[in-house]
Amino acid sequence: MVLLSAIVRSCLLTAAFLAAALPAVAQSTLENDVKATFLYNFTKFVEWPPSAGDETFRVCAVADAAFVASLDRTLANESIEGRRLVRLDPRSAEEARHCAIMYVGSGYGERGAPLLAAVRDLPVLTVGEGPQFLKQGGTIGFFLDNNRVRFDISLRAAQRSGLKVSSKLLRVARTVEGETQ
Amino acid sequence: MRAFVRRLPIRQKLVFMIMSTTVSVLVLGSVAYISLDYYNSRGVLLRDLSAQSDLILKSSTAALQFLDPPTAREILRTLAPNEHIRRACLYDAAGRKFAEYAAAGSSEGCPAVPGEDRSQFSSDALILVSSLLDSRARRAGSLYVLSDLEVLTARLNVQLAIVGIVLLLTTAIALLIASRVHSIVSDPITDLARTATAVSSGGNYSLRARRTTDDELGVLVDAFNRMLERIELRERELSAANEGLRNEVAERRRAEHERANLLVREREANRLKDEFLATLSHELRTPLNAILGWTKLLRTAVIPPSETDRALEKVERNAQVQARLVEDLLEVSRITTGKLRLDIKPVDLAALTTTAIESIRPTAEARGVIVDRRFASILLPTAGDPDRLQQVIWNLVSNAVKFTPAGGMVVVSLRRLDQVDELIVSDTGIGIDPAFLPNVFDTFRQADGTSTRAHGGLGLGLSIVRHIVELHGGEVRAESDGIDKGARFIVQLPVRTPDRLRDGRSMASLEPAPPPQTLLTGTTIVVVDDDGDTRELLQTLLTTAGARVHLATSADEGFRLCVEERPDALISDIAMPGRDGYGLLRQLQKALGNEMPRATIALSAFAGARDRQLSAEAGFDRHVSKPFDSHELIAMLRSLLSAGRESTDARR
Repeated sequence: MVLLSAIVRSCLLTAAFLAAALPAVAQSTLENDVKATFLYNFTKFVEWPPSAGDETFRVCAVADAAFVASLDRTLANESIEGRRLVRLDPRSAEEARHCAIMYVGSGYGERGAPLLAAVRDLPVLTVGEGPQFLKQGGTIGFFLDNNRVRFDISLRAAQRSGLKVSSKLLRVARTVEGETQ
Repeated sequence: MRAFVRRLPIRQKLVFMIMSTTVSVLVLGSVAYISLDYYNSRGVLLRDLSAQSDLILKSSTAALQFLDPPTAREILRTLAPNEHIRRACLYDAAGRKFAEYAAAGSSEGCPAVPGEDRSQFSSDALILVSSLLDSRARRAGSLYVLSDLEVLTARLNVQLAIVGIVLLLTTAIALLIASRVHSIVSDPITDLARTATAVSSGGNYSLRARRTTDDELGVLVDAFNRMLERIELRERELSAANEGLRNEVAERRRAEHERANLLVREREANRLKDEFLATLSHELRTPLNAILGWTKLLRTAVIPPSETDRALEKVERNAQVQARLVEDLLEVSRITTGKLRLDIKPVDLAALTTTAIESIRPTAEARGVIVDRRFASILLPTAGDPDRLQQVIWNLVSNAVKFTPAGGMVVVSLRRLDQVDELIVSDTGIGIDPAFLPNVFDTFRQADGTSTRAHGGLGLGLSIVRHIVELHGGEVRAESDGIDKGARFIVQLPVRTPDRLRDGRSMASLEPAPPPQTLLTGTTIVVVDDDGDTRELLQTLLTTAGARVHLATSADEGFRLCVEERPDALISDIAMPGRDGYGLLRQLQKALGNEMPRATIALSAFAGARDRQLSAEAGFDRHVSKPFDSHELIAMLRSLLSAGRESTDARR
């Protein structure tokens, strides 16, 4: 089971890598898979404040169906420190407050704005598309560089949310805003 | 190897021993240490590399998960300060090469796939493959690192260099120690060897080796010294024994020498005696020729009556010469047997000398020698035996005349010094060889011992002179300036006043002797002798003394007479034809027992101590040697008979 999962995962990563390496005009399935994997990988480099009694680790996504499908595949059967990973599509600010990660896909800014505002001071890792996302108060913003998925990090936003970001993650980010010297 | 070591001197042996020990310990220790250190270092190297790989892998997790090879490369470049890492490659979870790093000038490549996790040392490199595992223990990435072993080889080189240096230092120190230790160990041995060499080459056993240590060498030195002591002792004993032997040899040689000298002297004495006998027979025969010749002529009446007186005169003169010779012989015999007795009386030396000179003068003048008297006819009263003293003077003067050729002169001087009367007889004669001077007064000694000598005489005169003078307490010496320069004889006699004659044995001589006629009156004496003259002489002597005498010519006849006559005394010759005197006495003792004559006297020409002993053993009371003194014989008979009478009286 584990071996099979590893093979599947490996294939996924390979596909993502290939997608990232190859030129792409629109956000393809590969791009969605890579971003979904990155979302999962962020959980390993970001430290949330302890949340007692919460058995689920909610990854909320406000995005198109294709991305949601990719994310569901990625998170299937995964867990973090004994907490089951669950994908959620938050409909209200109340729901949004229970998310650990909040992804807002491109084209979903309007719908996502109130949700983002609701979790602004909560320990929720906010991930969005493009450099302007950070300007709107987001923590991590994806962008494409030579057909490769990369990201910027706002350390200020992370600190405001009470999240600790690993230096390793900072290192692979293109730019880091609010970095204290 | 062992033989090689054995040949080395002690110093090099020590160096060799110390060096071999030190070097082997050092080399073994170094090898052990370096090996240990090498493997330790390999472990350290591996650990360091593993740690570094871990760090790289952990640093690379984000790069791997977020598909960021540039960052991964950047992370791999952090390996650059470690110049020994030649190559490093990062592989993703699928085992594909994700990022790689190569040191400058590196030619090594990375494998296409990482393979299993491992660490693997090759001869010049260490390859380490390690993996990053995710929360589900899945391989999230792998790192391949290749490091050269420069660190190890450099360390090894440094260690080898240090070991080399230490080895050199150790060698130097070992040599130093060896030289010190050498002196500690080998100095006593060297000293001992030097002493031994000195002893063996110089033979000086009083040398001793110095003891400087208390170890086995000290014991050896002590033993060596003890050995030397014993050798020295033995040598001393040996040399002492040698010395003793040498002394003994010298002693024997000396004794040998003495014996040889004695032999020479004895031979000389024998030669002198032979010479003397030859001279004696010649001297005795010469006057005998004249006597017999003239006597024969007289008896055959060839000589005319007018010549008879002259012939008789010659016979008488020769008889006198012979008588003098015999007299001299007897005198010498008395002197040598110590029987010469002086009849000391008051004498006048001047008168004696004058008488002697006058008796010689006719002979001297007949030979053309003048005898001169150089002293006043005054009285020189002293004491002495007048006959003997006259004999001295006569001998000296006649000797001088004899050795003085015709026309020569003999001077006799006489004077009284302080307490000494000095008589000097000097002549102008043939003189005396200085070499012979010391022997002039020796018995039987003549300057010319050959039978063809020009001067007659027995050579006894001067010997007699010396003895008589010495008996008188004086001395005589001869002087001569050499051959043909004349000679001088000087006699010195102590002056003795007649008063001083009161004491001493001479008193007896001065007593008037009892008339001999009455001495043996009433005794019967048997005389046994095969020699008629002796028989006749004894008969006359004993008869005159008043004894009744029976004569026997042999032992048998003597035996018969003794048995018949039972005499008071027996006088018997020893050597007789038939039975001898000893036999006669033994036969008489058997036949007569207690009736033996009271006095038995052996009368013999043999005068030795052995003969006296034989006579005593045979039973004779006395042994009298010929020629005998008639007075002594009678005195002896008298004393024997009187003693015998007393004893016979006692027996009766």
